[in-house]
Amino acid sequence: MGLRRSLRLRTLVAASAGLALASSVYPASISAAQAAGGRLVWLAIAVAGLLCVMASANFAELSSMFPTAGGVQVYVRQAFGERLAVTVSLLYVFLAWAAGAAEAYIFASVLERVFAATGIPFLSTIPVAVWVLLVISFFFFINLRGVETAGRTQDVLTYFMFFLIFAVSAYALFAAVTRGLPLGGGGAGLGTGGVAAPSGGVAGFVQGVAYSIYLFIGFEWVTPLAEETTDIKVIPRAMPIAVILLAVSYAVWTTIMVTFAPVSVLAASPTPHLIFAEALAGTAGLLIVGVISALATFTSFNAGMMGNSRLVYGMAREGTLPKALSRIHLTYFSPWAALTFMFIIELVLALLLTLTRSFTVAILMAAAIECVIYFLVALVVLRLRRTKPDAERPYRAPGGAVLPAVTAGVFALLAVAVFFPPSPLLVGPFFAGALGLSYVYARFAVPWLRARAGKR
Amino acid sequence: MTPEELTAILEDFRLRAHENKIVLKMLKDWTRNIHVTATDLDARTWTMVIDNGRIVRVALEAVEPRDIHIQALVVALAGIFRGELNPAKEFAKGNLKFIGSNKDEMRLDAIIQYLWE
Repeated sequence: MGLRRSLRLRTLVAASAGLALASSVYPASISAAQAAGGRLVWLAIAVAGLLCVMASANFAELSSMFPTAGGVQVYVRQAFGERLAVTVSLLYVFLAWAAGAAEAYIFASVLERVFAATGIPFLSTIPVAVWVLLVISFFFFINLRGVETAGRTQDVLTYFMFFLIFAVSAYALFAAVTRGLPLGGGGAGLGTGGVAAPSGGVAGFVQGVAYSIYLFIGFEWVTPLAEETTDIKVIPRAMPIAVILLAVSYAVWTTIMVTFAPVSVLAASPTPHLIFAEALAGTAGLLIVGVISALATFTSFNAGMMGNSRLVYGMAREGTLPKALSRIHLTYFSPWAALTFMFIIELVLALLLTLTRSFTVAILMAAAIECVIYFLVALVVLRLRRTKPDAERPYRAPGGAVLPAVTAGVFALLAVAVFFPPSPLLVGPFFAGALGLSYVYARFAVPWLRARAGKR
Repeated sequence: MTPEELTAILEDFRLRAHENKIVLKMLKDWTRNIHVTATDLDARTWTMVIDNGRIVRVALEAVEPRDIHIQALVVALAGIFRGELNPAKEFAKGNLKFIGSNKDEMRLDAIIQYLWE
C-alpha cells in the first residue's frame, strides 16, 4: 500500500460521512421522531445538522492549527493539558463501545429478520445472539488480519449508499403521494392510521435535536487526515458538505419511515428501517434496505473498530493505558491486544443489549458523549484564541468568539437534554459512569502508570 | 544537533535493526522509501531505503518514490531513532507528523518498539 497523497475533497467528504452511515442511525432517528413528533422530525434533524456544521468550524480551525493525525487529543492537550486530553480519548473509547455494541446488535437483528423473511433453511432459524457473535467476530478477524478498505473502495461504497438512500426515499415519496399518506403522519401504510407520536413541545423538540446528533456521529474523524491534504482548507469544506448530505438524507428518510409506519411501532423495534421497507415494497423492499444496512454496517463498524483499536494502541504506547495493550501482531502488523480488548468489551455489551433490548441506552449515551466532546472542542477554540492569539490559523471559525461560545452553550444543553424522559433512565447513570471513570483514570491511574514505567 | 549527527544516528539505527532477529522478521518482504525530514534544518530530508527486508542504506537526500514520510524537529527525530523518545508520545503531543498507510505506521512503530523497549 503506497502513500496517500493530497487527499481530495471527495474522499474527505466520504471519510467524514462514513461512520454516520450506519445501521444504528435508523433507531436513533426514530427516537428523535418520538421526542420531536413525527411531523417535525425533519426539522429536528436539520437543526442538529446545522449545529454540527457549526461544531465542524471549530474542528476545522483546530485542525488547521495542528494538522496532525493525533486529532482531538492533540487539540485538548494544547489547551487544557494531558489530564483532560486522556479523559476525552477515553470518552471516545466509551463512545466506540456504546455505538459499536448498538451497531452489532442492530445489524444482527437485520440479519435475523431478513433471513427469517426469506425462509432460507437453517439461516432463518439462527437467533440474534448468534448473529451478534458472528458479526463482531467477523470484524475482529478482518481487523486482526490488517485488512483495510482501500480509499477508493470506501469512496465508492459511501456514495453508493447515499445514492441508494436517495433512490429509496424518492420512490417512497412517490408511493406515499400515490397512496395518499400524510407525510410524517405515520401508520397508514400498516393500516393503523393516526398521528405518529405525541409531541413533547419545545422540550421534546430539543430532545429530538439532541438524539439527532447521533446521525452525524464521527463527522470530525476526518480531522486526523489533515496532514495528508495539500490544501488545508479542504477539511473545513469537507465536514459541512458531509453533514449536509447526511442531514438531507436522514431528514427525508426518517420522515418517510414515519409516513409508512407509526412511531410507536418503529420505536419498539431495533430495525425500524426494515419495518418501513416491508410496508413500502414487501420482501423486495426488505432485501434492498437489508443490503443498505449491510453496507452501512460494513463501512462504519470496520472503520470504528479499526480507529478505536488504534486509539487504544496509541494510548498504551504513550503510557496512558497499560503497556500490554500495545502488542502488535508480528505478521499482520495489527494491534492485536487492543483489538482483542475492544472485541471482548463490544461482544459482552452487544450480548447484554440482545438480552435487554436496551439499544436506545447505548445510542443515546453515544449521542451524549458526542455532545460533550463538541462542547469541549468549542471551549478549546476559545481558550487557544486567548492563550495563543498569534498562532498561525490558516482557517478561523467565522463570527469571532460568538460561534464557539454558542456552540459550547448549545451542546452543553443538548448533552443534558439527552438524560431527561423519554430517554431511558439508565442513560444518565451510564454516561456519568463513563465520564467519571475516564476522569478518575486520567487523574490517578495515568500518573501511577507513568511512575511505574519510570522505575523500570 | 547537526545534520551529520542525525545521519550517524540513522546509520546506527540501520545497523542495530539488522542485529535484532525480531526486527529482521518484521522487516521481511518490506520495500519502502522512508523520508525523514528535520523541519528545523531547512526541511532537509534523509531517506531510509528498505529493499526486500533489508535497510540497504541511509540516503542523504529524498529518494523517490516516497512511501512513508516522518517530519519533526531534528532533536525529536534523533531522540526517536536513538530510542530516547517515545514516538507515540511525540505524536500525541503533535510534535511528530507521520504520513503513510496505517499498516506501514504500525510496522515502523513496532520496529522502533522492539528495537529499543
